[in-house]
Amino acid sequence: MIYLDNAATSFPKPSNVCSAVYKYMTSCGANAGRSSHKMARRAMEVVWDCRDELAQFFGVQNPQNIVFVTNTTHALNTAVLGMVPPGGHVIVSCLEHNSSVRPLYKIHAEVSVLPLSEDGSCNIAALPEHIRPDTKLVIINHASNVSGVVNDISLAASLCKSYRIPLLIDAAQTAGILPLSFDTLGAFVAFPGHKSLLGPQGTGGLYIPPIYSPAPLMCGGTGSNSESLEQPQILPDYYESGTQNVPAIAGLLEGIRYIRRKGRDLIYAHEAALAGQIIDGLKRIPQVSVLCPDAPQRVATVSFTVWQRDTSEICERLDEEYDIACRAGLHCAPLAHRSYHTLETGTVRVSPGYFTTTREIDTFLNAVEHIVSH
Amino acid sequence: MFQVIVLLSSATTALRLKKSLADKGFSSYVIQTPKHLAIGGCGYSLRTSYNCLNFLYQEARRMDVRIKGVYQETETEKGYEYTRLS
Repeated sequence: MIYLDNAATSFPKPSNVCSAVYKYMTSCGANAGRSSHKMARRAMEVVWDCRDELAQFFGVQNPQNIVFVTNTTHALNTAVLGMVPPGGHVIVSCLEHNSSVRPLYKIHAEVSVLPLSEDGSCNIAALPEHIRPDTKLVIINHASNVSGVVNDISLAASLCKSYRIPLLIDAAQTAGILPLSFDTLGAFVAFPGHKSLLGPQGTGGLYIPPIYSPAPLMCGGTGSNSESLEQPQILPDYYESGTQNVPAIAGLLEGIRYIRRKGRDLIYAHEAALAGQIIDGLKRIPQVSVLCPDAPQRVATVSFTVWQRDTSEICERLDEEYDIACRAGLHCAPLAHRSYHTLETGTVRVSPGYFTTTREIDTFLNAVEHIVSH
Repeated sequence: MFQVIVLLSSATTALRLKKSLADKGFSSYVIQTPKHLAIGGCGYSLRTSYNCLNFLYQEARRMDVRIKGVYQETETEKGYEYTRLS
């Protein structure tokens, strides 16, 4: 199979990631932070080591400000529901994923949407026009999971700081592949462990800036302050109730180490080259229209439509006839598709990863050409 | 030199300090805080040598980690006995 759905989850994972999960489950397997026997201590150290590794990777001085969650959606919900009261005003980019938008809908938030720029990114410079005295949060995704276009989060962070409004960055498509320094940004950052960080599904993190203390999404056992019926206020326990997915965290630790060894920039350069190959190849096929082909900065996610052809049918044929995996539809991001005028058709989204080869992209392009002409 | 246990809020803070001590060449050991010493229920402590206490206090201040108490730990026939130092 040619796997071109890394925007959904990265595949394959480095072998050391898989080994770490297996090794943890067969030789350790205890619950972290619940006892102090040797196996439990080893489990605690795995969780700590991963948290510490993430802190170093993302420029965080205090690893306790990184909270483990199950995925980006969990992280976004924690930040949104913890920071925004029902009916509160929130500003979002026009490219947000449902995982940012649906929690807002649930609490009947008043939402202002930033417009699209000509280059296909969100017009962050328009942020001040939408700010109100009662604005509670700004949410910007670092890169669109539909077009791959990167938004200027540094500008967003700087504007939010000057207006003293909390910023939440959805780094689902960029954590592990683009440089991110959480302490410097001073924003909440929600990120998955299972995409560019190359960890297993069921992992993710939320960076909580030291000046904020959103209410936790869940309360429960933390292995600390157990006599008290109140959730302990210390980080990260305040946000981490219940048993962690330690086998997956063990895998995530190895994913980060793999990226450090290979070099994040090298991985990005490879993926960027593949994205360029895809865009150049698709542009040569007459009926194909690529979303934001000339975006100044992107991650390796490319969406396209085919004139008068159903995008789901294209994907199905790629899968059935050519064993190529990609994703059609709205990608849980109707706001982005509305902005790109592809809400009616959806798009075919292809997203190569570090382990994708140029030959596989050639095969994909030949397949699209064949499907389009028949 | 005798052993001490340093009472902390959580496993995470214990491991954070443990790493800091290890970077300085001090060894330490994370244990569950003895029940009769634990303030507020379950907790974790660092068992380490008395001679690294000054460094540990410095690091705790630098990291904004709260130390709930420090006890001298003595092994007797009946088990461990604890004498509060701070």
